[in-house]
Amino acid sequence: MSKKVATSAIVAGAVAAAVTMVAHTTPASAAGAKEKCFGVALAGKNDCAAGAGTTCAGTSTVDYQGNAWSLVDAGTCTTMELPGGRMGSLSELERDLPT
Amino acid sequence: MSDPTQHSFATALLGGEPAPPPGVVGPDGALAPKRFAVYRNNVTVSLIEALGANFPAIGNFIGDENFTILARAYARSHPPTSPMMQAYGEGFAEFIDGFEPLAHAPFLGDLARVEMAWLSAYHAADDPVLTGDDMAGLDEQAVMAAKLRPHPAFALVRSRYAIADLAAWRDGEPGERIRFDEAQSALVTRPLMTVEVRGLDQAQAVFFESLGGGGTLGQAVSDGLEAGGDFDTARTIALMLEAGAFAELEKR
Amino acid sequence: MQTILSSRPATSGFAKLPIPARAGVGLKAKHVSDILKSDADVGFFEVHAENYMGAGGPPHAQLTAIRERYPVSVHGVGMSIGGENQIDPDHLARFAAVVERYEPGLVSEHLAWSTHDDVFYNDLLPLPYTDETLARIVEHVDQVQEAISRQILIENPSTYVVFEQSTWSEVDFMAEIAERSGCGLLFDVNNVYVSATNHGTSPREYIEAYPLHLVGEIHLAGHAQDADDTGAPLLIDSHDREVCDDVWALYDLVLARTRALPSLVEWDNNVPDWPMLAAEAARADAALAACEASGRRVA
Repeated sequence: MSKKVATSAIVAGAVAAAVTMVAHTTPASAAGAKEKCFGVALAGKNDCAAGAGTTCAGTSTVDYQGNAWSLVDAGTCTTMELPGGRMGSLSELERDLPT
Repeated sequence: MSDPTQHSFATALLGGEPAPPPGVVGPDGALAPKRFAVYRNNVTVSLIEALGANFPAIGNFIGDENFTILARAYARSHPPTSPMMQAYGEGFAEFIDGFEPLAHAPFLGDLARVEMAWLSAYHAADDPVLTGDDMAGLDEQAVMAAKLRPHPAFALVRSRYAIADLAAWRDGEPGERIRFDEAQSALVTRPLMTVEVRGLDQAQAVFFESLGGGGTLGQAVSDGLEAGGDFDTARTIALMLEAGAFAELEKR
Repeated sequence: MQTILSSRPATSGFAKLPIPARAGVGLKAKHVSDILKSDADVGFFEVHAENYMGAGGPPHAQLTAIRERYPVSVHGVGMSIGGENQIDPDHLARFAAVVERYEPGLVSEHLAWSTHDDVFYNDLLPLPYTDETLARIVEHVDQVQEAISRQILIENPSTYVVFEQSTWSEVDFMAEIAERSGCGLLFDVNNVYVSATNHGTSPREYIEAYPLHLVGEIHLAGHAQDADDTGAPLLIDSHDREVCDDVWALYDLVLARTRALPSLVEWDNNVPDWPMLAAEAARADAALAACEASGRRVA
């Protein structure tokens, strides 16, 4: 068969099989799901406060200067394999970055 | 009549020159750059924080210091146009794609696309999802012709990289090594209250693209079979139901 | 992919719950479980409208659970009432949808601007107090009140700079906004203290001159301390710590001159665990109880 075509028998059979597979998993109750989400919800980011830790001293450091790309923070790249078969490491990622 | 002060104030908030706009002074009537800087800082810092909240995987991956540099550059050049910070970062993925210092991590743009889809899913409408029961009663012809309405949280992000695996960075550094150059698509759904990200292979992605784009189930299965020799129709439909990708059968 | 901006308000059907003259707390997602589990004794919760402008998901599930048990007030932080631009009709519609969905006991916004030429700056930016800005603000307050068919409260700002062109005092400016638009006022005691310190004026004189009879709600918060260009103290409205003793004292002064009013403790940055926030609210409740006991009332 050069071109695969889904026949109605194949698709209907697959749906029936799929429904059986899914039937094994017990769906969580909607109420339970809501309860659970209360613990992990995102903080809303619309606030009426001045920025966290916002002092004038912080202002100048945060705001005026710095395009210097810093060392990638500890650990962030160690599980990554980089293009060209290189293993990701902090120094390696940092080395080629413009400052 | 336009008030020149508000315009110059706005310009000075994000501009490169931190000088206060004319007429904005301290209580002694003297120029007060440090006082004006409080506003400048609030704007930039709050936007960086909003991006940090919306793109935790990017932040965890490149680290706080680098994220601050990246986010500051984005916020300065692409400030929000809506007051809803939960939606801020629409063009962040494209910005990352073009951000030279991250050229060595070419998957980060797609990872940001997954995070944007994650956000959309998180805030999407609470529609019920299509269940096995909804499908069980259909005869063969109806199954073939069935069209499904995507759940409001449904999104498919296709990529050349292992972006579904990389999405684990949202919770911090993953315990396992990720081979980033495995092509994956991310299926993003929110069956109840928790956003879920699943990795799809090429053929499965074609199936979801076809079905999510309004094709019939018969067509989507054909497309999937054509896209990959090992396309498992039953498993993929089971995954579709489990993930809650669709809300209901389209009424004919 | 659906846009998250689509608004799809559910039919509300909540019981009417007016905001009592008690301490309330700014609602934070991380506290919701603790609040519900401990059945926390809090007068009301306040939310920032913008955080509930998505269509659904956990934020609405949380707020619905809170609203079923507590009075809720809605506090807008992004309307840009003082903006030169017209009020954004889309944002106003979303704001109205939040009000319709949750039927809050109070609705409030700020004397500030945050949008200019389609850019949203995500901060409460200051205004010169002139006839021109006054007219514009009154028009915008009207528009918001029309859109939601109810009165709003406008909050006095924390400011760090002065505009040379200002011709009104802030107190008179606030009073005039209320007079012309029919809005009420939200009196932020910490903002009074922060601004007065920053501008070298007296917070007590501000309070004594303020039209307190128009106040429908009080805000309390903590601030950070820094220094300005001349080395003088510059306070930052950071909402990241306890309310300071000076602000508690000013709060007592306000209560002594008015009556027990709904009083919100705001804590938006470095948000502590629930018990610490509950303790701040309890302190405000104690001040309110003392006020009630003393029986002082404005005629």
